[in-house]
Amino acid sequence: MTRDRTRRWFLRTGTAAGVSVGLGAPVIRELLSPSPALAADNSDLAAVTGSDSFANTVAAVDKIGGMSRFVNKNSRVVVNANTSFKLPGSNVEPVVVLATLKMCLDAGASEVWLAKGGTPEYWGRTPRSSEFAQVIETTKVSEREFKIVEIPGAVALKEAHVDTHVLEADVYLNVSVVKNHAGTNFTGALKNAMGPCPHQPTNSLCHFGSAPPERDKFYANVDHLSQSIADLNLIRTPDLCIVDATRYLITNGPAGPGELRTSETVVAGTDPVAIDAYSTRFVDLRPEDVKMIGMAQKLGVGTADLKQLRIEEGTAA
Amino acid sequence: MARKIVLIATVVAAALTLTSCGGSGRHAGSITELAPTVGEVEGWAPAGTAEVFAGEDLFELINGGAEIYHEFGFERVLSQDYAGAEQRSIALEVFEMEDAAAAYGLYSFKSSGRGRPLELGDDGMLEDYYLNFRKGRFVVTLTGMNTDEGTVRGLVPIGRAVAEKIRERGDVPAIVTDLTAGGGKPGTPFYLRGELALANVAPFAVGVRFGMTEGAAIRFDDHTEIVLRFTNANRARQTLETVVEELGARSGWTTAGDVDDGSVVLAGEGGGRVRLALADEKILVVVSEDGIDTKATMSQLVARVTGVTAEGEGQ
Repeated sequence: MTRDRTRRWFLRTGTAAGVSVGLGAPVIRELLSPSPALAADNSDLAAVTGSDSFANTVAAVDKIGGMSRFVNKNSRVVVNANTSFKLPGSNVEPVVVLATLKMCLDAGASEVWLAKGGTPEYWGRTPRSSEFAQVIETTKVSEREFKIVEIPGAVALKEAHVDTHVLEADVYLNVSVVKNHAGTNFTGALKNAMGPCPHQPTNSLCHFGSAPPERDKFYANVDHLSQSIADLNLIRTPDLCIVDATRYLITNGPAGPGELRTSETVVAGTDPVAIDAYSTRFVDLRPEDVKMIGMAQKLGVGTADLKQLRIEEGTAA
Repeated sequence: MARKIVLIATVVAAALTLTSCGGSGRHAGSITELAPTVGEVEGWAPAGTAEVFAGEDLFELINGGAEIYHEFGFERVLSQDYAGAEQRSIALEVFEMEDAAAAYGLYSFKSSGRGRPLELGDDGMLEDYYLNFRKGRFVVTLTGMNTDEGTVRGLVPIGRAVAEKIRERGDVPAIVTDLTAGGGKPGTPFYLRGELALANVAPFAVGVRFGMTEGAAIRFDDHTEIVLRFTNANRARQTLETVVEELGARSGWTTAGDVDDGSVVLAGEGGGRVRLALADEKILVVVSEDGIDTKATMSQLVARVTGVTAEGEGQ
């Protein structure tokens, strides 16, 4: 339930001595506002397959309670969608983002923000952008201003610069694309936590462990990167994760070009560890092949034990 | 007379510089000059402005995917889009690497090995909707933003226009030719400069610090062969001991210990086998997923790389 989820987030971040952001107001606002109860028959995770990615996205979210489970009326929503890559199969399909944004607005969100991206070039990749011109026009794009956040419980990354919208929004949605990644083997919801952070200094520290001049050469340390991603997920667990497995890279990720696979599937869930563990199948991996999944589970971000979850797989009606 | 000697010396020095990096010639101008301009490629014209990213700024272009480029020795990249008829679009990326071996390495990772070989640059391959070629220190990637036939038809002519502007050439690194001596499978053998590339070829190596100076790998249907070169034989031996100890301590892995051919075998869960052997300053690795006879395969690999058969006869 939203209320339980928010309390967990509040307890986690609220115990961080020295957290330099004003977390109180939105949290208290959400705690005080009525939250729709999750129907007992909702699934924990849903994967919907079909030729219409927009319909798949809506159906997947509906199967875990619908967007109104996550977005209350007049709430401020930030959507962290992976839209910053360019080549085929490296981005969330624009229609998946459009469906997400429209669901937020339909649920009564007062403001919907994209953490980054949303350029005309991105929207131009789908002919359906004209159909949803109003949604695109209404959606704001973050100015990319950051605050420093300490990360209690982190193993490798003790603090991070994070987009203020992600920290202050009432609702935080994580919309990622599943794909191969030359460093971490796999990328999905967990790694998308790097999206609201700037390359310097935070993401650079994730990749390389130290900044110049201490770092005299580029050395990619996959263990450090994986642990840093797990740590970043302690800052704010998404209220809802959507993973796009419509068309994606299974080689030469994350940027491509590489071999493309089309699964025409959209996955929705609330647990970034679980949704990544489930989504590893799309790139022919197992959850244990992806270090950040195990590391995030160890930190308590979520569970990779899919047997514990109610998973619904189906097609869009 | 003295002026003539200086001039000759200068020419010789310049020629030596041009032939360095395992290749010949060197593109001396700005990387932006490599992008075809209006009228150079029929039916295609530059769209938007060219961008150049150097060093760590590569992360701005390809976000979290820059590590492996840096591991190989990335210097800068030119990015330019091209527009064709009916809103077709092609993205050009020209990666300038620190030397021709680095370019070969990056090319070997960017090519699937299953595409259609092209006579373009030093090596070229056309894939479903993109092509890669390498020439000298440069790796060029052209990607159709759509996968339709009209877009894909534009890849090769734009590629040729870029290739004509690159005045240098590069050889295949010697460690790769050693590995594939006697004939390899079709496709592109990998050249390695660090652990990230190695882990992409052989997942058992994820998280293991080998510290090799360079390496090469080739995948077959049922196994992968790898050669890693170290600064000296002592360093190779120390690394082998450390790696065997580290892998043997991993959950699900068992060490078979030294076996009769002098190599070490590690067995993983699910039937995977990693056989490692020393050959002077090199570590040779055979990785198998389904329990093939890695002893025979290692024997052949040793013979190819060292020129010495199991019976001690030179080849």
